[in-house]
Amino acid sequence: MGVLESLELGFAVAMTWENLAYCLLGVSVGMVVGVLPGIGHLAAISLLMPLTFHVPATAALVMLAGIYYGAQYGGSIASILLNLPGTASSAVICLDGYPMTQKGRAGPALLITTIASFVGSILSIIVLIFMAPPLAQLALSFHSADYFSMMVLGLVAAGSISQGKPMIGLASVLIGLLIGLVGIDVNSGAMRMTFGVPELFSGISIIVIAMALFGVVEVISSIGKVNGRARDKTEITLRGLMPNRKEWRESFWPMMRGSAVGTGVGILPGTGGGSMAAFMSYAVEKRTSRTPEKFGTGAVEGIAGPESANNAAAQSAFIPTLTLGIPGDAIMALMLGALMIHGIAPGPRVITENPELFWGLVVSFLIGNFMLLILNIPLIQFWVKILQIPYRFLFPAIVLLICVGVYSLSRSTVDVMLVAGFSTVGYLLIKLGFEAAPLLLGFILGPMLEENMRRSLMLSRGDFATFIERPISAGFLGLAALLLIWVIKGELTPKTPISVTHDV
Amino acid sequence: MNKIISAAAGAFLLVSTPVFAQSWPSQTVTIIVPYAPGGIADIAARTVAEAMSSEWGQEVIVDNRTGGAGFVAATAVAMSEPDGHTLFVADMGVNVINPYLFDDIPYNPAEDFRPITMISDTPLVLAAYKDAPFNTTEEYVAYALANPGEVSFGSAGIGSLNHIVPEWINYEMGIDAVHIPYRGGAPAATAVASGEVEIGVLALSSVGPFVDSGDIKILGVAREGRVASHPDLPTLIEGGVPNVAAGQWAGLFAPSGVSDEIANKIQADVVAFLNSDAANETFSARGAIVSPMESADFAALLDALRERFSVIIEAAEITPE
Amino acid sequence: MNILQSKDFLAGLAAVLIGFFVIVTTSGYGFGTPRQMGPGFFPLTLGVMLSLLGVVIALGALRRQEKLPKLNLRPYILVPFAILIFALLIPRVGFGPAGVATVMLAGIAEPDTRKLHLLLLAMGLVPAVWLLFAVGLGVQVAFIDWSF
Repeated sequence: MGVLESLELGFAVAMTWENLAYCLLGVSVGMVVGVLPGIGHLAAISLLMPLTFHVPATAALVMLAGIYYGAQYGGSIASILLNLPGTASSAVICLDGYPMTQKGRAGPALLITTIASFVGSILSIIVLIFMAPPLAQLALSFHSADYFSMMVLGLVAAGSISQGKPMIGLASVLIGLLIGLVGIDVNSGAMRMTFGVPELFSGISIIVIAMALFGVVEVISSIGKVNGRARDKTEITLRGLMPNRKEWRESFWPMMRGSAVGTGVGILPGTGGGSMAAFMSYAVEKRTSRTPEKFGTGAVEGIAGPESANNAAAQSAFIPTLTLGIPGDAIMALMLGALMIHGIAPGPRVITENPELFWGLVVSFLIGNFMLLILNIPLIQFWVKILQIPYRFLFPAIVLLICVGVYSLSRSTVDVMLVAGFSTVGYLLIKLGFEAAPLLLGFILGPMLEENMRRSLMLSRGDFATFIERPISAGFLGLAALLLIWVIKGELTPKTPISVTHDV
Repeated sequence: MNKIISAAAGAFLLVSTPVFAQSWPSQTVTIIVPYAPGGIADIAARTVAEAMSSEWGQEVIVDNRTGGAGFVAATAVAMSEPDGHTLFVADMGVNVINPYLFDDIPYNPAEDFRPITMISDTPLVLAAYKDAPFNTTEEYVAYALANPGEVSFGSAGIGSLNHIVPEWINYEMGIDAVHIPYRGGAPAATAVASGEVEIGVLALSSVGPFVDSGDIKILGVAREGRVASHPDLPTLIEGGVPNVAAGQWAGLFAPSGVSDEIANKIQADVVAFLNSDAANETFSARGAIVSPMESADFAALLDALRERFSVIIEAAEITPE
Repeated sequence: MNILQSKDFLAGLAAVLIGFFVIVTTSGYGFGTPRQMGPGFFPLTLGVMLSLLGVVIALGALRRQEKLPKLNLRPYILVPFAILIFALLIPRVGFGPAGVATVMLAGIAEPDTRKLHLLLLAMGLVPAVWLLFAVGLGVQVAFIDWSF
């Protein structure tokens, strides 16, 4: 079946009233849970999964998938407005999105992330349509050694995310790596740093860390320092929301590169989905930028790239899930569960045996993204109005939402206590110059790095050569080495002073 | 007036006839599941919950209490009121393996839970990478014996059933195959499909897609008898590996203090549902086999499994450090 | 300037302390061999690296003196406390009372806010949030649940 016929079939399936309604329901729920701090798409999909017992398989998947990618749109909203990452992957958006709000550019930031989300998703869906089966095979050619080397590359790139002193940035990454090790060690089954608390056995949720270090720390720092009026400089007119010509121009290529990075990372199972993609994209943008010093102070590139990347990853994560039956993360595992509930065995036969499901779902992604675009743009005016609420009334609401959101992850009060604990320690560390973003990246990479390194060595029976004998692994390590040399060279050459009137 | 009184009296009589079936369930019944939604234990619980909601006329909800190798959920059930309003769907890990694996475990599965019935059983198969130099269980055993320490098997983690069953094969045949743990069953299946490890004992449902794509071949099934859906698939026992038979089952339990009447009613109602065509269809679509049982048989099976697994776990020195 | 007020010195000290804490808590885990690395290898290595890095950072403070920024003390105590109270109260009294307590406690971190205003805010906000999560999204949590 050719691509055109397939798409025709897909449209026929996706454009039925029933599937359109489930798609709209899914993306709307996704947006809401994306905006709410804490509760993420995983929790939302788990909660809504039982509903799908009663609807046809295609409709069920259309809705669940809608929640997943819808949440990616919503996630950046609270990051930009309140420095409150709605999902782990949108923590990166805090870095430059929140400074934009502080400069009175909240409206344009929201519009750019909406467009970036849309662009990233659509480009990734196009790749999905044309190249899903061959790309899925790529996922099978990755062994543990290759994952390890990719994580090393990610770690070297992490250096780019640091905004302050490099030494303290590195220390932040190390602290993140260490926090990531809490829980059962996959390779030996040993409990590490769990102090006998069963809730810690499976590790600390990334949401807990992101909420504490971004959300709560920001609330603590802002109380008494910002008042309602000073925070709101955005005109709530359509013109006030429009990015200016410079912002448009500066966000085009980051969106393209972000989409490419996101699509690539998303295909690989077990790479943490959108968050890894967003961090990688941020590092790429900062590295390739001619004005890296602008990053962290409200650089448009710093939101456009990562936002495209995390949405692209959300879509391309479906490639191995649907074509090979390999779930990349917990959410994709839930999607497979939904398929199996309906008696459909996921795997290479889905495309040939259930083409209406496969192509209907793919076309619903396209439709869903258009819905999100149309839903989001008018809502921006509403979101920006949140900033007009006096901060002394806004922040207690934020604190409450963080509590409920984290609690709803697995109804564990331990998780909520951890937020209190990590924000207490985190506030001090951040005051001392430690940084939340590198710490979070270390936290994401740490377990994968260790797990894959030890597994590779078990498989090679202790031979380190395995990391350079495999071509994919050697390639990543080579890239990491090049990047490292580049960074060190950059540090050694004296920096040219930046003139204030520097024209970009 | 008389009419009203007699009607009221009649109604009163009707309500107060103290049949336990009417006093239980008197409120929402919660089935606690130690794993996230989407897995077989969760699906088993939800399928039963839905059928029993209409059967009992009370809402039956599923509560996923994840975390702590099932400790969180198991402890919650063990400490709950044994009035039949809190039930537990658990598997081999929580009920048989955990006590032998962990030194310090906050519940005692043999004493804290009363087995009601098994719900479903997912067959485990010995699966191999497509290019592995063996095609049957006998050939695998011969190859592994000839190349000690060379073969690697993937599992869903230390102490998972996918870890213990291959160790069991090692134990029965004197094989030295190396364990490589993964973070869950799906990555383990992917590892076999990509050839990173040669073999794995994996759920039939999770290797299915890779068998279709030709990346994985199945050597045998770890069951007493053959699987109805795959009649040409020999068992490991037929392949010369004695005793090795264990499935990834999900069973229904109640806190141990629950009264006999309630336990028996739950058993009868759930088993009646499991024997229906609808239940059979739901589970076979998920690669599982409905397995209704008498409570006593289920309890006896658990005892036998505990005895066997304690020996294997000790022999294979499976202990988290 | 007193060295104890130097930002970098304290940052280095913090890194050393965290590193030591990790080394001490994970020293009991097996170190293993390259073929079969123990669970202690990674944390121990990272802990040592972090401690050494901390020393380097602290030494850097000797030539570059930067003063510790002032802490926002009142919110620093009250906001995490409000979150902790939520965790402690929710299994005992349910979402409603726990939510009100959290909003009030967090709210007084801003000293100028009138208590009455906060109470009104809590009265509106807490039921609305509960409806959103418990009814809208199906999170199983009771509004009021006096089960001490």
